[in-house]
Amino acid sequence: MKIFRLLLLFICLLTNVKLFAQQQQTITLSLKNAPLETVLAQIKKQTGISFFYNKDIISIAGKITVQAEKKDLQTVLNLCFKNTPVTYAVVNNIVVLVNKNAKKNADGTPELANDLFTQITVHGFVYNTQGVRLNGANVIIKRSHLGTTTSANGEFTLSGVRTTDTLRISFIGYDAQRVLASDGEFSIQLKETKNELDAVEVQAYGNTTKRLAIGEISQVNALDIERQPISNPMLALKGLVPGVLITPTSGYSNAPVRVEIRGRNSIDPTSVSDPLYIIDGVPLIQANIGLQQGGYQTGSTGLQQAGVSFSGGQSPFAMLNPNDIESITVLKDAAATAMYGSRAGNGVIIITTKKGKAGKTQFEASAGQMINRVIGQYAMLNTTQYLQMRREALRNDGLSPTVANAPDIALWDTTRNIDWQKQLWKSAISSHIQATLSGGSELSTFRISGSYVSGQDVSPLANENTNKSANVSFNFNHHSLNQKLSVGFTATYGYTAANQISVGGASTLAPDLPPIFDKNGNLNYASWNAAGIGTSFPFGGLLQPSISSSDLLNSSLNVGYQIINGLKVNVIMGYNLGLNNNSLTTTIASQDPINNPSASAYFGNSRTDGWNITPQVDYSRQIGRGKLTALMGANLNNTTATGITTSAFGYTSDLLTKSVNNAPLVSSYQNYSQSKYVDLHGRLNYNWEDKYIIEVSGNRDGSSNFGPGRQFGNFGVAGASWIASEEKWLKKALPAWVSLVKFNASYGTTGQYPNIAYQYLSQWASSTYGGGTPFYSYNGIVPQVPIHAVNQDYQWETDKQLNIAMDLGFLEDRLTMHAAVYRKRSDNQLASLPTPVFTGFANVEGNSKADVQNSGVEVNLNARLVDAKDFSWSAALAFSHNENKLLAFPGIQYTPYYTTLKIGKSLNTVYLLHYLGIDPQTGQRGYEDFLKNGTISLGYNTPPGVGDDRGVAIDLSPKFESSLVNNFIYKGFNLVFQFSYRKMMAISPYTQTGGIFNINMPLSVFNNSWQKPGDISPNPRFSTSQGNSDGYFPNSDGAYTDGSYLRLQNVAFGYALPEKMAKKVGMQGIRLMVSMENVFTISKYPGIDPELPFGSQPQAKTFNGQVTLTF
Amino acid sequence: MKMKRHNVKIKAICLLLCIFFCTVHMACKKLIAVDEPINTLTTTEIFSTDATATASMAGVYSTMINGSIGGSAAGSSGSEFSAGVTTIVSAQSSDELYAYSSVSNPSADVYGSNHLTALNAGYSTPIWTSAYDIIYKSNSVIEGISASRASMLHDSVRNELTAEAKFARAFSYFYLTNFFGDVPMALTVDFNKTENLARMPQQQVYRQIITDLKAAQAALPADYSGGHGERIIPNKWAATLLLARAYLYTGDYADAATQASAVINNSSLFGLEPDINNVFSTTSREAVWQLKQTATDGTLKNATPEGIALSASTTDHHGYPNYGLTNELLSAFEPGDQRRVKWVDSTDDANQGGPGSTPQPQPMIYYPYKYIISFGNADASQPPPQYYTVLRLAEAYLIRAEAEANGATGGAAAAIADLNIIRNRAGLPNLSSNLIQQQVISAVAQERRIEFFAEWGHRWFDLKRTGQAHAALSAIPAKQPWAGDYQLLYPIPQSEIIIDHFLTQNAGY
Repeated sequence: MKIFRLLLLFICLLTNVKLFAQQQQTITLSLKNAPLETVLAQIKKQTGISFFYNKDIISIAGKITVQAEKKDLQTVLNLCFKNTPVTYAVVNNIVVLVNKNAKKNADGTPELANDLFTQITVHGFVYNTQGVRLNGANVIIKRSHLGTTTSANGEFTLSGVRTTDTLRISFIGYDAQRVLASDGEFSIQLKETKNELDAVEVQAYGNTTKRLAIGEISQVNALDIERQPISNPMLALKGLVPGVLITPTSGYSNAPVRVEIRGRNSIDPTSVSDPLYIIDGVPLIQANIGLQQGGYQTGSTGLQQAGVSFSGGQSPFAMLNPNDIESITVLKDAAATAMYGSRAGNGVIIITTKKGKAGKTQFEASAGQMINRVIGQYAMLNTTQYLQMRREALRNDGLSPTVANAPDIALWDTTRNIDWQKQLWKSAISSHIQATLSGGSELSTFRISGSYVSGQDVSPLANENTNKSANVSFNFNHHSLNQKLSVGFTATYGYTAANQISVGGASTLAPDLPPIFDKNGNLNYASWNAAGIGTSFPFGGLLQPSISSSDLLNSSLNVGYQIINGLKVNVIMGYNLGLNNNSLTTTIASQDPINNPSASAYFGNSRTDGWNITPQVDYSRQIGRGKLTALMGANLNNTTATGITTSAFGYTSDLLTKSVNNAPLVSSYQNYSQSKYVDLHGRLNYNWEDKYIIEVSGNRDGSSNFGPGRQFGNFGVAGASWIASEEKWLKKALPAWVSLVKFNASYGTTGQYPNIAYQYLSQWASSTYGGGTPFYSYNGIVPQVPIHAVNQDYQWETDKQLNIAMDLGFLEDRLTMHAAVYRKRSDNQLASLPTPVFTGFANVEGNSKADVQNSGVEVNLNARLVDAKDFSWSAALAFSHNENKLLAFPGIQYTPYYTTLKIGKSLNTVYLLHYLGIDPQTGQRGYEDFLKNGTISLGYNTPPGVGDDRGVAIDLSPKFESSLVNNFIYKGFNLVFQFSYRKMMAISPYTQTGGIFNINMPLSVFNNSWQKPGDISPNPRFSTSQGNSDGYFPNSDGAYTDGSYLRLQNVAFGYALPEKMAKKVGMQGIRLMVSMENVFTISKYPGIDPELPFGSQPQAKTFNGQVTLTF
Repeated sequence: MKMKRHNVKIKAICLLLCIFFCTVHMACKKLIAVDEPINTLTTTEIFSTDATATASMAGVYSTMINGSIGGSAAGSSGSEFSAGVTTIVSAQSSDELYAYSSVSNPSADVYGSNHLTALNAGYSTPIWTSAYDIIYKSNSVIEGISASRASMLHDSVRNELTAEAKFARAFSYFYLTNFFGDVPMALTVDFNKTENLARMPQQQVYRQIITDLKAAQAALPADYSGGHGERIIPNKWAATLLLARAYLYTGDYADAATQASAVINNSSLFGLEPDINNVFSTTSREAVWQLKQTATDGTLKNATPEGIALSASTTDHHGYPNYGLTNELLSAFEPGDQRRVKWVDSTDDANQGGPGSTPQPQPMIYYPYKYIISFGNADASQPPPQYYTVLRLAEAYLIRAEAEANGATGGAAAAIADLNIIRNRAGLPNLSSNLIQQQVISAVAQERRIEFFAEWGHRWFDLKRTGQAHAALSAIPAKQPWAGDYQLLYPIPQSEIIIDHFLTQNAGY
């Protein structure tokens, strides 16, 4: 319902805005006894309308006298020919003059003899506003719908054209232009379109537009990326693209970002949901071979393939400068992705970097500062309240406080009152600068940019959680003089260095804990040892730094040659290289001195690299009244990943820990993977008058990750599009304000290949799979053991996708809507299958019988609400809903999934006890005895609700997501803000039991806790330990709550100084921008951040201010 | 004219493209050929040379003593049937050990009280998993060698390694069947053939054990050249002794006696150590097969798995061990038995701080002291004084004695003679030569109980196979109420039954 209300609001807004009506052209004439030619010339001059006539008409018409002031064409013509035998007919914007006495057609209109129309050959060039010749522009005769396309240098020749014909010249991304054929010789300049439906959109191996696309494509462009103060460009997609779920995996800015398109496909919890990423035509390597293997929840570890990391790896996208990105395109359905075949099961994301533009060489520099602070803090107990809770807990348990059971009461200074959130979540500042030089001529363009960011994440220590990153990007494009040869080269290099520490639940620390450091600056273990609980000291992590530095190089060379008109060949050659070095050090200083500790460290070195060659042939030709586009190509891709993790033990001083050389005990292991992928892909598209479009595409691909005989698979899709509003009969029936009605449908298959190499091969190693500690030698021999189960027979997973969509445009496409419904089924899916251990291993890589379905709805609304000279207002609304369902799983009862999944339910469902509240007599939590057998049981070896009392199911996938972006421009001012709404269930912020040592609680819980028999309260009695009834609580529905939220995701306010002012100081432009991320959240959720669990560091609120100068 | 040229050009281009893409396609298989991984070896590579093939068998032995999770040595953590778990659980299930923690929390001691259920039998899974792990690795060696055509893998090595693998497989099945009864027989690494196995009757399991051991016996060397003189690689005599045990357990007394005699008669290699302190030493002449710890092992260091699991936690009798010897066992020793003197130790100081720390007096606890290196005095820089002894000569005497008492050649008199050899070594007098058969059988059982106390599950298996378990155990106070004789077999891990629906649970669970 909400969505319909929003829609209504949109339409109301639109109709309230005054529209600039199309001015009817008027003619003012004052002529006496003028020859016909003069009259017509005047009319042509004023209206641009052309006339056609035989020469004898001039004499028939004689001298004409006419007086007209601001009259329309028809009136004027009637006046002119009132007393003459001449009559006129309007044909395609051309006025044809004929003798009244000439033969007539059956319908009474004058017959236009064919010989009236001289058949001519037209010739011309098509340019854009920068003077670049447009290769492949369509030139179509409106009358016959026949036509041609421009050659490499923008040239066209079209014969058999009537002099009365109108030609329609169009090119993707530009407004179409109509010209009269009569001139014979043209130089046509097309303007870039402002209509969103015709804007260029990246698709698989090419470009398209919203108007013509069959596949589901959503694109986020530079403007939407630049305005957001984010370090990882993937975060820019958050909320903007319906159907795409973006989840940061932790608060560290280099942490991987989990991306999921149209729901979860795999039952396997170790399977990552990441789509295929392509940067400038080069697939990004997504290896997962490291010690910390990614999974569904944590995402891929990215560039880090070895060692240990707090941030869960290094996101490769954090290595890209968001300002270098032209667009991020999300391909969602089979029609959009089938050309990527087996790699596209999770969708495809294409990142395109900015290219140089012809024109004056431009230098742009910008600098800014960001401030990060947590979005909120919990109201926790102060020391007085905390101690009151602890004393009551001890009393309830029949204990009296002693140094051993309550050092917080009996030993430590109870006058201390520390707000640990303030101490540990300190705001951080970062600075960023960047510069871009770009320009070029009609034939060659270039762009060079560099950026540097130095800053910090939220952290308790000044010198920790720092991030430094530097980025250089280069692009060069060249065309030969005849435009037939084109060469483009792009390279992006990024470097980041992160210095991190990990501190757990700051908010729950007792407010009277002794200081973190003692007088000498050492960690204050002594205070804790005094109570005999040195092992519980919570601050050791502060002195256990994790240092990680990464490099990412992505480069591609694109060479194209147009052999003849419409036939192009091109080759993309790409290479990327990712490096990561990291260390995690457990220093002596971080450990309890009474244990006489030594230091240890993990070191990880990883390298991922890949090359890619894509030769392609592109053919397009006007065939009949439609345009045929065909593409055929191959792709050869090789990736290798290797990681070495070294563990070093026994350092006797922290000074020695920088290198593995100084460690007395060292062990090391290597992970390695090589994959080759090859495909043959093709697409055939036939577009009949921009009215009916059909498209088939597909590919045959092979992967070395399969065993012999199983390496190849076929994938394909067929789709059709009907632009109904182009039908004349419908055009008549529809009101004028409906400008587009389009329907799309496609069905096809994509696939998934295993992301682990060599699983079909029986492998032996001297350490366990994935890199455990090496096996000890026996009898002086380094042992070799088989490391995983071998299945030679696993095959391609197939995802069957159906997509049906509708596009509507109103008021000349100022309001557009795109709505899609889809269904996606993943069966035969690749998963780690459980096997009895007597087969050798507990699981084997294979094809599971589980069939998972994702189905949903996605809606986009875009509106240019106001489009005046000085003021414009546009808005975009996105909405998505996905339903995940385990459709079938034959034999589920013979798999461990029997205890975690149920057929017909979402994969993200948790099964829980039903919470009954607090027993007023005992103050204990109570649960429903679902099985009615007298006891509450919580088993993990039985199906939920069958062998135990877990009778409640809660689906944790978001029910729906929505976002609204508003963009106001007034002269130089620009204000953009984005709201996000998500409906979902979340884990309650506080599920613990009050009264346990060193666990603080929110004030609201404290005030509503059970104290004496008869109390009716939502929270249990205080106790110093967790009883069974408390232990069950996190596994009950009482621990879940509505986590829906509305968030002002970001606001950006920009101001471009007037050009004159800038020019005065010798610049072309000066822009100022302030922006903010995570501005505020409205939610019924009782915690701070429904996306992250209680006690963990909430997401940061980021303020950014920057100045950009253009020279 | 121009058009025509164009057409020709197009045709030529199309043809060329077709040829290009066809070539690409035909070359696809080659295009996606990848090199073999560099951090691992393929089965073909492993079984292409003598050295790498030998490393595969080293993997089996290393797993046996160190565990399958590379490095995380079982010993104290208890995850390998072959690294202490067998001893610990079966000594509790019978009447040898009790868990010290159970003194304050009797319900926690499900083994000592024989109150196992399918869910609380925590050791079922490690025993099951570790035994099948060794079996899988052994199968890998057997199949890998038989599939290998490599000329650099010599026949002598092929035969020896295949025999060792068969020995390891038989050894693992022996313990599996004694813990669980009927068990699935996985004899190949092809999971397609093994993933739906049902349980095989125990008789057939034994038949396979005997077949494997006979093959091993025939092919293994008769000396200890494999371990360069150390008795750490199973040889012909290890196979012979285990074969004798298998015959004994299946009631084939004649064959049991023959095989036991073969070991005993090889006096050039074997002899009882006069001083029982030396029985488990690295140089023991009594040892038939020992597992050798790796001195650099971070957990075991120079201790043995049982030393870590059973001895007091620090040296010099400080720090309570996890398990104590039961009164039933302590009272079964005859006075003057050297084994009571040297193989049993005690402490009453629970302070883990060791010597010099403030003592924490507790009731006296007695614990097995066959292995002298414990957690507290293990030292990675020192050579191990003892190896983890799996098979030893004393068993051959007692197998032969039992076989003879049950009718094998020699009869009761020969049995008594064999028993006396063991008794005398322990400082005990000869048995009366007038014992009737039933008494001799009892004497053998008593001698086995004392000689092998807290060692490799001997007592537990003896009670079960001789039908004495109910009588010996059901009345013990710690085991009240007696849950039932079904507990003589452990429950099959529930998780395995979920995955393989042909697998059935043992009756009673």
